[in-house]
Amino acid sequence: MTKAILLLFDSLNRHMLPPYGCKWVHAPNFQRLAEKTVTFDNSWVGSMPCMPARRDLQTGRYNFLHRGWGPLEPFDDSLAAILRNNGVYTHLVSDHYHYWETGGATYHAQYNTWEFVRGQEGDPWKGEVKDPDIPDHVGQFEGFRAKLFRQDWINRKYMAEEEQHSQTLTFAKGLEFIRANHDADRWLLHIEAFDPHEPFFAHRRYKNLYPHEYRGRHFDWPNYDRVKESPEEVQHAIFEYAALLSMCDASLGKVLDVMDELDLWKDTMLIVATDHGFLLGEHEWWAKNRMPWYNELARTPLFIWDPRSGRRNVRTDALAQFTDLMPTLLEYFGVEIPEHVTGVSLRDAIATGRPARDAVLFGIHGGHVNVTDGKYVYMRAPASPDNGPLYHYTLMPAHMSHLFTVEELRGAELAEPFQFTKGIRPLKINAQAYAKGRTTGGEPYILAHQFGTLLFDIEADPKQEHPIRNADIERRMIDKLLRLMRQHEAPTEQYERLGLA
Amino acid sequence: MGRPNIIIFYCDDLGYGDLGCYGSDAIRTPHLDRLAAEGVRFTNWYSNAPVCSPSRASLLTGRYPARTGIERILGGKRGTAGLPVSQKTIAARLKEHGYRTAMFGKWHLGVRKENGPNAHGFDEAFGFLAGCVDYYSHIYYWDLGNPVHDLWHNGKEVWLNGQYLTEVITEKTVRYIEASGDEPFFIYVAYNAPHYPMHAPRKYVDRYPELPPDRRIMAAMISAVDDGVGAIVEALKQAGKYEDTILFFSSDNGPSTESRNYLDGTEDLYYGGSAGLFRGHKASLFDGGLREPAILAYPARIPGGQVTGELGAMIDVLPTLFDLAGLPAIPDGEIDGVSVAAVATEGKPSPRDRIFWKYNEQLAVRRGRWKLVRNGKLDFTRAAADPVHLSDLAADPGERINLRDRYPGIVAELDDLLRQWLVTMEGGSAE
Repeated sequence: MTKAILLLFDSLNRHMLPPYGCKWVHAPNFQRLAEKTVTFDNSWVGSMPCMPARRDLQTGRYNFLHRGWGPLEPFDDSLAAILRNNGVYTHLVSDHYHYWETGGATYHAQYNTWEFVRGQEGDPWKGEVKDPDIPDHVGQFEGFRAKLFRQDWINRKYMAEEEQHSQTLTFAKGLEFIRANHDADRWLLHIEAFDPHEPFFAHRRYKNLYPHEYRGRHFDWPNYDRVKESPEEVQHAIFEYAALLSMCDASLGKVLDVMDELDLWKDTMLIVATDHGFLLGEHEWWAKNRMPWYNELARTPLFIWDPRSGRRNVRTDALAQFTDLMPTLLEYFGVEIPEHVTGVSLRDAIATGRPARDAVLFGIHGGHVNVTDGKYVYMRAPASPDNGPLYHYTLMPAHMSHLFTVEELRGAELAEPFQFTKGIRPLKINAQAYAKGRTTGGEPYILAHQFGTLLFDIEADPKQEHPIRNADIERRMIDKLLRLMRQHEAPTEQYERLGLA
Repeated sequence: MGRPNIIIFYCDDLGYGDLGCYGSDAIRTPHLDRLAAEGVRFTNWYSNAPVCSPSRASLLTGRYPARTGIERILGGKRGTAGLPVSQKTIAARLKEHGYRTAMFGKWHLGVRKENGPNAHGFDEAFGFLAGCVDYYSHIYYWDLGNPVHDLWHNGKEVWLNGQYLTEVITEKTVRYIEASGDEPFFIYVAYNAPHYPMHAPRKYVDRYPELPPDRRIMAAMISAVDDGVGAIVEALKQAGKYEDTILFFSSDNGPSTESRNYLDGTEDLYYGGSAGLFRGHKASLFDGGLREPAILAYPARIPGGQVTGELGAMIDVLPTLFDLAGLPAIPDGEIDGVSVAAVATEGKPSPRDRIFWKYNEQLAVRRGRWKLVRNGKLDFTRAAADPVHLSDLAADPGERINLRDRYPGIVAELDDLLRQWLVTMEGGSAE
């Protein structure tokens, strides 16, 4: 039989997991996982942040050179639909509420069946007209995030017990699918947990694993901003994140338990991965998106059990990327990989540790375009402060929570087709204002130009505290960058934006 | 010279303040007082858990509860799982060194055969497998379930209707000693007294006409235990084995405030047992739930008449007994305990300077004179006023004064130790 479980977490920090050397976080099941799988030491994000990563996952190629956050496109070949059309039953269980927002909305429908759990972050779930009681807290949210914040305090009221937590219910539904179908052939179960994404809402028994003195205000939801909080507040938020991570670990343990119990290891692939990390004060920043995609964000944990290779409790430093999961799963189920997929099946990397490539790109639309070979990370910044020229190419003009505005679409035109759009002409929409906006202080949201082009030797400096200057290395990295951009049909103005035209 | 015999007496819910030699002015325990006078009496000895099952798991394995897989009270239904056999008990270890091993009394580490005492190295096991029984019918009545008869001899159900359990345990132990030959033996004498239900024959109750009813029945149950210890010591002397026997006496946790202890329908908290001057009761990580009477005697090697304030814990019993018996030390990492034998034999300081606890939401650490309790409770139901409580036990053994604000640096250090310890408690059972 041929079965697979794809288990995704959101914002799971690699450097906080015991199999990657962390000594203080309680995550014994991740250690147990590493003993059952091949652990990837050189796994990287692709397109950032959440939904762009999910489009990468479904299509096996980068989203971020052509577009920001948004739905699947009419011309996309998606992992779930391809498997479904080839007789592999696909089932999605998730509490990742971005799937049912305006800018998600097309992903889950690719699966045979799907089940959602409500209530994460500010998921507009339970309706309460009056404002909830919100404790005195660190920081202040404005605009869209303030609405999420208010709603989150309503949602939490319905999760007073751990059994009611969105994460708990998500895993319970995942286990239900496994128990109902473990003796059936050819299925993919995709369990996707929103946690440990902020807010770091976990129950007391997980917080108790991190005793510490804190008498400050409530603080489990850092803003996407520079660190302005006191050291005690920063440390408290780190422990709050760790508590939620420990809850994720306990949920992972339930999946491992059922795999043991039903002996699924003999015929079931297991992939445990995440979309990206989350800064908890490193580089003096919180969260993601606005600052460069440092290693804490971009280098991800990845664990794969392939029952055909039988390799477990080993590590590989083969370069791997989120876009590789799609071709890995297609190859595993014996389904042909579409021609526009640029990710590579990790079968060889799992079986022999042999790398399949020498470099990968990653980044956010309108930010640095980053390239790494696993030794160096090169972050190429926009040449000009206006971050132009920059366009979205899409036939699904939606942002995270709303459709493109009339103003945005007013100047849109039909672009020349790309090969990956299968000869279809997408809309070409100016994106400069969008990448710049979303802050109140007048400073751009994405600060790539302000940070400038950066080169790091991550073997010597894994925390990326000391950028280096070396013309030879930079030239080599630019060569790799250009090669991969060309391979992905990056729009011509991207080269101009980066000063590489 | 042959190996010494070893006897561990383990009572149930016995308070620190309820033995004569620990300062009780109400309960008379002449036999235990004499045993203390002939050995060493510890005043800073701790259980590793404030409730039965994890405390017993730590005593028998030398490991913190989290590393035994037993962190909570186990239920009494037939089929209840318990201590896995991958956890090596003192009985299993002593058997490897030629000891005959026996248990008389309470097990409470799992009702299934594969988790029972015979599976854990006891050649001879007579007693009950769950948390408590009626002392005369040996039926378990608690937990809102149906009653379960719970009396067993080597895995076979037996009936001794009408016989008072404390006396049965004493008698079985005495017979075992009388029948013993030249091989060294280890006996785990696990009295159920003075745990609920509060039963004692009239002859013990009549010794305390001066006490109010809740204290009188408690005193009677403890007197039955004290007489039992006296009878067992006498049997050792008759057999010429007292000098070459190591005896350790203690209890699993502090006294219980559960209202079930009343036999007259009272629904208040029960204060029949005394934790002495300590704060908290059974289920609390304040010292009243944890600090135990502990007497260690080995007439051939330990000078009598000692009282020591050196620190020790139930996890230390196994390595200490091995040390005193001249057995090879347990390899590093297998257990969390350390030998405190030299405290008793040479008056040396204890190698233990810190103890950690986790029980449900409560966390605690003692390092030297300092003790930090987080999310502390006073018993099963009542939370302490301060969720973070730092005490200087040297000045304030009753943990009454919270020094959290005065010594933030100490709180931070103890938190740091707690976090480090919590991580080391993972990884489950030893294989």
